[in-house]
Amino acid sequence: MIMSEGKQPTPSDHHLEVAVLTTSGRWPAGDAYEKEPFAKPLEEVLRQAAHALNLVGTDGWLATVGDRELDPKKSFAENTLTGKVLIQFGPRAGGGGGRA
Amino acid sequence: MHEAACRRLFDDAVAGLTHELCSTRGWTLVTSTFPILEVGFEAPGRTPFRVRLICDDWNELPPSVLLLDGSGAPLTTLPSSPGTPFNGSAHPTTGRPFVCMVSTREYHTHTSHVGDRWENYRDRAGYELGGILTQLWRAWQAARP
Repeated sequence: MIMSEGKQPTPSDHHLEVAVLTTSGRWPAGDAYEKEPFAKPLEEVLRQAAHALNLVGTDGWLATVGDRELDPKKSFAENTLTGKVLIQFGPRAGGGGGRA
Repeated sequence: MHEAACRRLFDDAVAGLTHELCSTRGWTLVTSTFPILEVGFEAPGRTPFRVRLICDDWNELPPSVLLLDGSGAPLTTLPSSPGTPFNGSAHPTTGRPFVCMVSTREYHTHTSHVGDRWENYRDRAGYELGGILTQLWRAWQAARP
């Protein structure tokens, strides 16, 4: 699968292809990718994915591509994402009692 | 909870651990047969690590989490990892290093946290088995090798 990041979008590139992967399922399903405009805020797509996967209460979840954490408040372009992108989406490292 | 119901919940939960998800996360699904979910975590430059979630009575009880080396042997010591839930001291019940994290049996049965009940979390997103695994994975990523 192709994941592109770090390349600045050119004026002729208006869309990228996105999929969101969680342990509760993938959006869109199967091996499909959704075509989204570069200017779209990432959080809108994450919200769409969560809704499709019947996930409630995902505010604060971590979205990454590779080792890079994404900023959901920013657009795909501002997150320097292009091409075909697979976003890992899930809870952050667990909290709790920490160390003795 | 009746074992058949636990098994059904377990099987439903592990169905989301697809080949695509595991391969893109560097996860190796060692076993996913009730009541054991064992997953290896690997990344370039990191010492391989496994977690074994013992899910008897899932989700009436949270899983017991056993920390293993890359070959599947239980860890008896842990490197210092400040700011992570990996606790190198002996758990009062298991006597082993443990994960002191909401959603592990070791956390909710520890004398320091018995008031923080599993029931407060088990129906929330991120506290199904895949979510717990993800939390463990992210904690491992943040820990020193």
